[in-house]
Amino acid sequence: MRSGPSPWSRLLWLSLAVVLGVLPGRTRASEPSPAALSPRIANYTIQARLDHDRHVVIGNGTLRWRNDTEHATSELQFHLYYNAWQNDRSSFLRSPRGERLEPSEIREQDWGWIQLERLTWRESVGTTDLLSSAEYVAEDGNVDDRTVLRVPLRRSVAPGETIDIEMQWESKVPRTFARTGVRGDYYFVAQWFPKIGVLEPDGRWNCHQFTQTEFYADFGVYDVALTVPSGWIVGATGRVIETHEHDDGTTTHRFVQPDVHDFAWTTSPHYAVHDDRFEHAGLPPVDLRLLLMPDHAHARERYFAATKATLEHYGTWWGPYPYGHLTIVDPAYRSDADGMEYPTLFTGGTSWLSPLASRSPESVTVHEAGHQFWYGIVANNEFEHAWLDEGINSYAQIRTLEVVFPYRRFVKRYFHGFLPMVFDDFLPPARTDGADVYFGFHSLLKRDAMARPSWQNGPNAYEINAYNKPAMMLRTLENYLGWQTFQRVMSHYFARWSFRHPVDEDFFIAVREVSGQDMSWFFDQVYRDTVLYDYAVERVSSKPVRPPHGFTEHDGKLAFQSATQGDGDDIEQYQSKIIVRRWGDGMFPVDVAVTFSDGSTKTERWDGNDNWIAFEYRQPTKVERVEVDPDHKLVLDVDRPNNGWMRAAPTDIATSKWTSSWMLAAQHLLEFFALFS
Amino acid sequence: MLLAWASSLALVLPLALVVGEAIHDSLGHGFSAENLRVGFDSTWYTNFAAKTRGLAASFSPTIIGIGAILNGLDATIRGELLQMHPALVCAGLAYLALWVLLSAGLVPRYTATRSNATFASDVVRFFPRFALLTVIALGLYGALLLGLLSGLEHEIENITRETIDERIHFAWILAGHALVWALLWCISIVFDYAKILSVVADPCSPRRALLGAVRLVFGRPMATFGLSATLGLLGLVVLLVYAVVTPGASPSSWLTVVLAFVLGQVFLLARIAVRCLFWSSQTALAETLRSHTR
Repeated sequence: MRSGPSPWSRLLWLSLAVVLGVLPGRTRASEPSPAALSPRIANYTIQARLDHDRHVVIGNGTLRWRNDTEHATSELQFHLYYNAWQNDRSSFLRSPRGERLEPSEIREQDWGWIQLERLTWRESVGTTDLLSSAEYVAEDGNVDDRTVLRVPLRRSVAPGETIDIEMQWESKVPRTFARTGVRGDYYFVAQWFPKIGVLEPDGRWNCHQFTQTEFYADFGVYDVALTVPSGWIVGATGRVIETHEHDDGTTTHRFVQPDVHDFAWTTSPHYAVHDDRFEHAGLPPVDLRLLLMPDHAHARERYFAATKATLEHYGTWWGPYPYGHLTIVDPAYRSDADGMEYPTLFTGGTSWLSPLASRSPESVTVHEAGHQFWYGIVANNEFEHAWLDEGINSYAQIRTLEVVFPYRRFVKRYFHGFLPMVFDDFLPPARTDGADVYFGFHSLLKRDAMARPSWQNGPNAYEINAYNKPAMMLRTLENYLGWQTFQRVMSHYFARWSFRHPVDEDFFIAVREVSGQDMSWFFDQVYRDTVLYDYAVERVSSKPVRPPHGFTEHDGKLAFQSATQGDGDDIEQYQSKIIVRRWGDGMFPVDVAVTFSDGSTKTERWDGNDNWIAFEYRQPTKVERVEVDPDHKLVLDVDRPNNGWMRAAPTDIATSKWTSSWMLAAQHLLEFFALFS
Repeated sequence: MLLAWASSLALVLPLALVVGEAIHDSLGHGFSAENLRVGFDSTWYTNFAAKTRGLAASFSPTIIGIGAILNGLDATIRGELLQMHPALVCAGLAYLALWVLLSAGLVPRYTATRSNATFASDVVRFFPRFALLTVIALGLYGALLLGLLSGLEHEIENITRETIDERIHFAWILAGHALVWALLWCISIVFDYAKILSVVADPCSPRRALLGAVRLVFGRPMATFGLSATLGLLGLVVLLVYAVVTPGASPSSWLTVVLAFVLGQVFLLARIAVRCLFWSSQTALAETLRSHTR
């Protein structure tokens, strides 16, 4: 399906483009070094030690940061993510996401925090303390939230200038609130260090509080030495370049990774390590390392297969994975660290008993491996445009699963979720199957426009606008433009914005430039508004054509004709009329497929703008079937069942079949009540 | 047995009509009707589930095949039968009461002396004792399922708070349920024999019947528990056979739909028959054991 240049040549041209600065877009003050894939703005050298008894990570290190804009800055801003779980006053625990938790049930040892002990600016003229003048800032006005630290500087940092900030801190690893935490002797440690925000090209700091969204940071080089108890397996962003055992029963593992924007790690003595290698013609090879928990040993080959499928299809469709290695983490049971992405490392997730039909871990593995491309390489701001990675990746994930792991069935888990049962007769819905699950006046699709910054989405709007709706939007767009065109759009967008921070308009521009079509009419509805689409067959009639009844003119004179008169040799004709209705406020061109009783068909095209349209036919056959949007291009239609009409719909037998099944199930339920008699 | 089956049908039929009407309205003249005739239609179902309220919302594809039993079994084991839709809970409680009534008339017929009185007069005579014993038993069941099981689950969560191996967590939860259900089983057997003794040892107050049942059950545990276990296994075999032969979503003609329904009713009758077998076998065993002790 791939068209255009090969991934290798794309990678070569991309690298050259970065070096020569020929890529259009926002202006940067300086150019990256020739060997770099990314601008390398925020570079960390960290030494961290895990104190397992206290669940604390003691860290110190240096941030080498470059002002890559054309504006001087007199302050720095840092994320202190772990303070979101310091107490129940944080904006995180007050947000819709945090409201699902019950703070009163959280024990003392479960809370988390990050405490900066030293923050200094090391210059040639000396070292300046920055901590004494630092203050917490909260754009939502919550003075109790401590997830953003504003650090005034004694002098401005000029455009292009590089500074060294030395840091020392302690991070109390929480019992997992959101993907990072400790359970028993299993750690997944993410967002654990003071992370500098992003200084945008216009000179503003982009450093939002941590509430319901994910993350945003600049690319850089990470050189991190992790000291953990000896014998514990460590997985992290990057490759391990050296290991050193100490006499105190600890071991230091040093990981280095250039051209990434985050660093996460995991450690536990329970991991089993498995290695494999991805190789595919036309794509760079990738060393795969799987850290597998003992109760998920069955999933070893499934994890590898899903990861390889992602590297192959994403690499072929969008662009190659450039890092050469990837760590797959099978998270521990109930660690709540499952299904999350970090540069060159991701967490999957599965169950002890997981039938193939459930596609667990395949589905989550494809999604999280896919994030290496959409998030890791094309690094959108997840605070503001979460859909640019989650939505695009959800769309791409479903596409990949359809090709590589098409077998899926509905799986229900019984007995506290431990025991799965596969129901062979039906499929579970996929994210891009259709919008029917959101039907209703108070549909989730109407909660907030996708254009609203993700961190500002209201209750129950974030997930729909980040994942499901954009995935359906993109699937609809693919159906409209055709796969070949859409694949070129996506691969062009990927190549242009690799190792950069795109915004929503950048995607729309790519669509316009590559497809040659102005799709603003579509994005205005789906992205900037909250319209619902619903096309339906309202009414179908096929009536025999009879001679007129009443007075008609013959030879200049009026004569009465009854309906029963007429030439007995006339061929019977039917006057058929179909009303197709637009119930929703969204407008989209649709086809209408009409099938007649002799098997002949007609396909009508409607621009979908009016409230309704009528199609009329006069022919010897009746209309037997009508289907609006027969190819299901408009997956955003919220009521797919009303798109079809058939004359001889077997409604009674279908109703009887399923009602009798329900009845039988209810009778069996009564038998269980009778057990107690 | 037929009376029990007919009662089950009568209790559920009005509820089924409500669900059926909702399904019928939802299908209309759409293609989903054809899809549901030959199999299932997941798109229709997500649409239906999003719009439907009330009893019809209890419809789900997992009612098909062995799922018809698994949903109820899961709820029973977890002590969550009362969390079903209120209409289903009411029907279930009514059916439970009916079985108390029916067993008051059945047990006298299973005795060696075979009651000469009419079914109705036996019901009138023995139902008050059966009802009292059932109420006491329900109190104990409630204490176990709603009290002990809930408490055990909470304690198990404390014990396994740091457990990261799913198999270990599963083993703990399974052990907790096994303990509660072992106790439930003991109570169930004792109260069954108490009801039987209130008939075969008539006149016999419920208190005397209970004490006699405890002596009988725990005096001859191999016989009493063994019989119950054997009949329980028979019930399990019935369910397993049903799981194998029951058609899924494939019936697509009036004939096959009716045949599938009839097959389902046959297995329902089989479950009722096993319950009747419990009563008849336990009655025979109780009389045998009593005669041996005299």
